[in-house]
Amino acid sequence: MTRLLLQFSKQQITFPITSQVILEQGVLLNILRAHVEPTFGEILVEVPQEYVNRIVNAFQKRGVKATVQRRLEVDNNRCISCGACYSLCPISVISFEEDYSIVFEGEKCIACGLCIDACPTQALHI
Amino acid sequence: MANIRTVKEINEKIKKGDALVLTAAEMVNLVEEKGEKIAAKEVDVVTTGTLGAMCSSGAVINLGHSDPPIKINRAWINDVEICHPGAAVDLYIGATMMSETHPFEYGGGHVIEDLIKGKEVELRAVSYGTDCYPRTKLETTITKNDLNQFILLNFRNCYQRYNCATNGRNEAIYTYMGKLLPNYGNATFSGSGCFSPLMKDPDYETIGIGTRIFLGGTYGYVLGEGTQHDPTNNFGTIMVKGNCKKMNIDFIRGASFTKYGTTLYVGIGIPIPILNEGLAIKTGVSDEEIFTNVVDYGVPRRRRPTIRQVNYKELKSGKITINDREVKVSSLSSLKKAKEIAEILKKWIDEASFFLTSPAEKLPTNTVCNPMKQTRELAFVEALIRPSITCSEDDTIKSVAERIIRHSVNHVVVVDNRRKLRGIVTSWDVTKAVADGTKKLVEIITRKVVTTSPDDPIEEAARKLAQHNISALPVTDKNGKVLGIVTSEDLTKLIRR
Repeated sequence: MTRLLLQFSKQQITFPITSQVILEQGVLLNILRAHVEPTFGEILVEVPQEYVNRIVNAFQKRGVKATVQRRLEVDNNRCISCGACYSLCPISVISFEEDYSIVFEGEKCIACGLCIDACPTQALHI
Repeated sequence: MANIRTVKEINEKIKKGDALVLTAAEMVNLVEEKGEKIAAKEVDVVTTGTLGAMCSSGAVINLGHSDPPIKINRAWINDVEICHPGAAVDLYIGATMMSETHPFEYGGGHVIEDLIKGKEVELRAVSYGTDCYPRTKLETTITKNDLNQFILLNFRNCYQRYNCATNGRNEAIYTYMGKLLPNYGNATFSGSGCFSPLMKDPDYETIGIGTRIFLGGTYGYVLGEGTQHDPTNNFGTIMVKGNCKKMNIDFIRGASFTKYGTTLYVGIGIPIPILNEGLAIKTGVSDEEIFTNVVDYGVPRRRRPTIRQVNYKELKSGKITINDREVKVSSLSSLKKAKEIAEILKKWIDEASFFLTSPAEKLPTNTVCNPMKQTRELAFVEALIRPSITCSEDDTIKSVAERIIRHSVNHVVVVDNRRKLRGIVTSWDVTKAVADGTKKLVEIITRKVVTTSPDDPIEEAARKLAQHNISALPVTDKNGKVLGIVTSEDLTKLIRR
């Protein structure tokens, strides 16, 4: 599965563009996160790998910016394995091993950002 | 307890390569398997470790003299103001001082880390100029090699144990214990439990002035008790020093806590000589036997409420139960590094490159940590709360007007059937409704209500009244339930008293 970040402009928020794309392409999109502000909207969706190009084109045709989403990145030179991030992750991307090494399973990350500002050594980025 | 060996004898064995050294975790297992008698007979030294945020840390540097010389009055390194506690060119880099251009991101702790790394930093200084030190301005770049001394000098480190923090408010808070999610959504703790140096010698039989320790990747020394040393509550602390020039950033690191500030992560390990059977028992104490309190940091007072007791085994499992709900708990100190430090210290002793010392004076065991003497104790909103007159959204304007007259108040708080705040109606609102011919109460309710809590200082409540140009604040608990009201009249009376 690949994650796509869909960014809608103020004008596009009111249209059911995501539903149109799903119906037109016949591909199921799993919505992981949706966020609407007065001036823009963002949806994070999961798309089967083989349909990524089709879906990206279908959104872009409608003027929606669709980009393959980057995930949590860990700077191992900065990380001291404290685990301050661990209790904040809503979907258990962050866990620890028996020797208390912190493990990041980046492919599960939904890029919510909750952990980023909790890192005392600024080792986390999205 | 009768001693079975001395530090001198242990050092002889270390020299010969005969000493048996175990890490704290290994000692816990040995005591559990074979009992303290055998452990005491076999083991000479137990090594401990911790690496956590220690805010009362910093480094003394001596710059050498410029030409013409300067008696530095104020100085900055990489825009972080550096205290000037002594003579002309001695400076103290405090870990929590923040950069003036990048506050909350970069601070004294990062300056210390950068210097240890060998990075070049920018120094600025100003002075008023004297006959002996005429220079008034200085700008230069330095590395650690340009410093005569670069000494870590921390006045409170290595807490024996620490609180586990959680947050009962309905909003996330950012604290020195990290980010705490609303409604007890997570918890954080610090301290390495069974690896904790002071926890393994809780009566300070072997630790005191002159104790040689692992500090930041090299040797360091205990200078004595740390500030707020509180041995009777198992919250002992130590003051330490070490040579920064030899330190390694794997074990000392600048850090920042969002919306709190900057600090320094310090790695410390103390070797505990097993002088008697009692020390075998104490160094063999497991995570399960070391307890601390889960404390609500959502209450911004000196005495924060304790929710429950918890042991370090539960904390290290990553999950604890708070009010019948399982929540994740994060360690803020690095448990991995704590273990690594104990292992390195063990290796040093095994290699006979580290010898133990007897303290010149042991840490005190009977001192207490008193609160601050305040010439004027702050009053809190809780002292001023009076019952509020309430109504529901379904009431009529007339019945609200009647309540205002009957109780001679100016504010009626609108609540739902669970007493949760829905809004406020003032006598002015009612008067205006009559003048305008408004019929429905819902049309005159103010929905955005400025509130206060029982733990707000009176000054804070007064500031809110003035800032919003209002004359009363409903008092709510953390769940938005109305507890009462404070009015500007009551505040004025209190201040006049």
